[in-house]
Amino acid sequence: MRTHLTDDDLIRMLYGVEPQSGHLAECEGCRARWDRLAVRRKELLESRPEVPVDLLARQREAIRDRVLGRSRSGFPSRLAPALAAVGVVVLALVLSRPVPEPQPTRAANDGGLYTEIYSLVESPEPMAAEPIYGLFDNNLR
Amino acid sequence: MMGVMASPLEVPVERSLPAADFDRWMASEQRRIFLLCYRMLQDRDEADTATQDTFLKAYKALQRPIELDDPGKWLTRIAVNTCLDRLRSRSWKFWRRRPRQQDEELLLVMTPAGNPSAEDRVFAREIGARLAEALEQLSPKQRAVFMLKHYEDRRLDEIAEILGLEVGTVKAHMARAVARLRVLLRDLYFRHEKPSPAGSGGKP
Repeated sequence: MRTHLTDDDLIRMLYGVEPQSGHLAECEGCRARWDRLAVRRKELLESRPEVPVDLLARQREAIRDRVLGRSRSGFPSRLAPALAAVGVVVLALVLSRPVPEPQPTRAANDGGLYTEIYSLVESPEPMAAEPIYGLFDNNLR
Repeated sequence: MMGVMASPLEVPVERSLPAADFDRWMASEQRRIFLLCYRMLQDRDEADTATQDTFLKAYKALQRPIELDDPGKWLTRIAVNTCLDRLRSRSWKFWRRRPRQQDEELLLVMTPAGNPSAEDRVFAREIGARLAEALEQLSPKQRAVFMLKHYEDRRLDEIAEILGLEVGTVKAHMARAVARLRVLLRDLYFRHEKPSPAGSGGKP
């Protein structure tokens, strides 16, 4: 039985997956289909997809800026989602930390301060003289 | 001395490339490189950045004496590698958005120019959208191999050179890509035809 080439065979040959079959030389029908495929392929390759001209112009300007080391914007917008995610994580960490019980440190400090002031006021000699007396005591020993 | 084949670029080996020459070369290659990046990345902003990165890398490389047989192929290699890097880094970008309306409009604009009939134009848009969607399902390497053949009509050995792969590996990637896209490719090439005598699938 004569085996014709399928559409898939022809496409695989077109894309180089399979070598060109010798059957094409023998079968007029398959060769005609192969020729039509080649014409269609040529049309596709010759079609020129359009790209907006303003997009290309802006892009060229941006490339020139980068080549010359100029920066259009100090902040690359594509980093915004990453930075926002980091911000959310940091905020979550801060908010999830246990708040310590307030300590009555201020009262204790105030109490100590008042005692010290009181002892200074009540002392017959200024505190600055004490190290001098200490010096003499050490020498006597 | 750098040869001039596909692209109008001449770089003297003994000195760096003048900015004006680079500018001219960029303008001649920009559209092709942008389309290549767009088809690889399927995102207008990413394609824009990848195109910029490609030309910036090329410019930096051309500041040193360099010998190139085919500047167009060399630039394609930079562009494809830039896109592959972006596709690799994209895999962990959980916040990546779906293509925006702007991207879809761009896709619609990218229909064949010339004077196609209204029916052909609609068909081209439809098949373009379907092909773009199908390309997303290919692996990055399969996508690169298929695109370089389908849109740039490069030979498999050229594709192997661009991607730094063995020809056999390129053929294997191509076979998988064609198998995945077979229905779409059949629509693309045989839309106006009657079913083949052997049918579209297996042999009789």
